[in-house]
This record gives sequence, structure tokens and C-alpha cells, in this order.
Amino acid sequence: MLGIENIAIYIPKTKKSNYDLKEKFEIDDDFIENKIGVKYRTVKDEGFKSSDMCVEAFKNLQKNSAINVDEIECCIVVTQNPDFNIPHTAAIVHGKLNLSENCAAFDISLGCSGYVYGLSNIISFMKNNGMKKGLLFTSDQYSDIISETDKNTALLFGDAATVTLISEEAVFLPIDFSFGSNGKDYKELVCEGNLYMNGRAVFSFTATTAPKHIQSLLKKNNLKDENIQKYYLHQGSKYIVDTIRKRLKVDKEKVPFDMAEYGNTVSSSIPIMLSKEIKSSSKGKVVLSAFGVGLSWASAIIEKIK
Amino acid sequence: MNVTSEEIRDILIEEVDGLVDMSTLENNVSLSDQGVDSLDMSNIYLLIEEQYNVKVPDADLDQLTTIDAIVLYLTKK
Repeated sequence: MLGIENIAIYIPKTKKSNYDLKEKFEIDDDFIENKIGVKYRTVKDEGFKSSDMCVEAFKNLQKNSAINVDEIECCIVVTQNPDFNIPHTAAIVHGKLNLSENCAAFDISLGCSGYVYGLSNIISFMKNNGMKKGLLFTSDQYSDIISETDKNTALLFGDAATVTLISEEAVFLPIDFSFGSNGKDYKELVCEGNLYMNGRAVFSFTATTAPKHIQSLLKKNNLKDENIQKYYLHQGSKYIVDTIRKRLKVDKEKVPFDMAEYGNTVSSSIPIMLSKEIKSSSKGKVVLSAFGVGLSWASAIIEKIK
Repeated sequence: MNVTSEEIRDILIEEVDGLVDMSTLENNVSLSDQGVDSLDMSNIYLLIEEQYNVKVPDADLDQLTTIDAIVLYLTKK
């Protein structure tokens, strides 16, 4: 059965400190550490594009997994910061990795909900087409689209990429997915030159939508909190992760927080956390839930079997 | 709508108790001037919307800066 065999990440070495912006934005250490929860934001190398970060993530995957690129039959890139409008970034990644001409390659244009959508997409696509090995990339460099004078966004986002190897040698197996959209409010988080975010609107949307969506998915699968080992929530900010956790009424230990050293990495935030979990000895069901640009949201239950 | 300052203070206790000193929190002084930051304010607005089943547009937010102002705003709804 197809599932997640391995995950590798690329976190740029260059970091910018939010402590250096305290005076500029009239914020203190408590706001940095306990509210937005981002101490440092990662920034890609000058000239790096989305495909370059995908390639770096893939190099890290090769360090942990023996991969014959000729066996890769599917290459999907989740990004909203493509190298070019035309062609799709997956084609560029396909070329840079010397993947086979029999390999399907396409992009999925989604933001923070992109990994959960992408996971369902690649597994379904591969299953329906009899494929055995595929790569799901997430890659966004928001440093290209952030205005350094915009407090709502300048403190938050970091650059990163991840790659998830899908195969029948699964460590995580999918159990169920659920998706949602509210296109009427797309203007609350939009990029027209620079990124604009209505922080209050995005907060209200997330705080009201994500907990209900997760609870609904658990109920549909006859699962309760006691059946779930961890909740991997998109790392929008510490405040939003804490708010969802409180509304779900689940233990703090079951909801990892992991963005202090690199920021909100958009569709990479969940696979970054899973890349650490995949190495642990724990087994059991975990929830993934992500929400953002669109407005769009997606939740999944997956099970770690090894 | 009948709304009291005690009800609004209860909402604040739920969200910002410990972050600000509720015993000295003034009803007629701007919440932001008393240590309530922008993220907490977003949460407080959401809790008000949920508790009183109202929609508070962004354009109205400058009318909701103090506890007294929030009570007055909701009373008119």
C-alpha cells in the first residue's frame, strides 16, 4: 500500500533575527517568543529559486534513502512561488534531477494547506496509474514577496523546501483526508507584488474552522483524542497553534510547536515536523491539519506503522 | 442587546488574565495601552462575535478600544 517512506528537508543556513526588529515594530521578547513564536526566519541564498530548494531537499533525501532516479514515476511540486509563470516548477525539478521521461511532473498551486492536499493527490494519482515511487515536493521562498515594512508578515515567514518519498515501503499510511475552501475571502491573504495578510481575518477563520474540521474528521472515522498520538498543525504562528489546541481541548504535549528557528514555512511546516517524527520509534495515528491562502484548509489522519 | 462590563471582563479573563493585571484593568482606558496586544485583541473580537452572535467589521474596530466602548457598541446592536 502506498504511503510515506521518507521525508527530507532543506532549511537555508541564512537566518534573520526578529530580535533585530524589536524597535522597528515596537515589540518585545515576549511577543517574539510567546505570541508569534518566531525568533529567526530562514532566507534562501541570493538567486535561489523554488526548484533550487527542491533540489537541495532531494540531495538530503539521498543521504538517507537509496534512490534510483530512473524508478521515480511521479514528481509533484507544491508551490505558489514558482521559478517562472511558465513552465511549471516540477518540470524544472524533473530536469535538474535527471528523472526519467516516463515520469509525470506537475505543480499544485496551494499555500499552507498544500502538503495535505499534495499527499492525497500524489497517493491517489500513483495508485490510479499503477506507479510505485513518487516524489512530493513543497517549496516556497516568501522572502521574495514580503515587504520588510509590513509588521503582519515581515516577522513571520521563512524559506524552506521538503521532499516526501512515496512508495510501498511506507512508514506512514494514509487513513482519511478532508478538504475545504472559502474562495469568497481570498483577498484576506493575497499577493499582488507583495504579500498582504489581514491578520485578524485569517486568525478568526483558522480558530473557528480548523478545530471543527479536525473534530469532524475524527468523528467520521470513529476516533477520539485518546486514539491520536499527535496533532501536526500548520505552524502559522505560536498564537494560532495554541488557540487551535485550546479549542480542541487536547494536551500540549500532543501538539508539537516547531517554527521558532525558521518561521512559518507555508506548505513545508507539516513535513518538516513529520521528518523528525518519522525517525522516532513511536507508532500510531496522527492528525495533520493545515489552513491558509485561498482560503483553503485540509486535514488528514495518517498512521505510523514502523 | 443587554451587555455588561462584567461579561466583557470575563472574556478578557479567559484570554489575557496573567498577561495583564485584571485587578487594575480600567474600563475606560484603551486595552492596548493596558498591555493587550494585537493578537489578543483579534482573539477577543472573535470571542465577542461568538458569544453575542454578531459580526464586527474591521471598519468598526476603532469603536471597540476600551471595555466601556465594547459594551456601548454591543448595546446598540
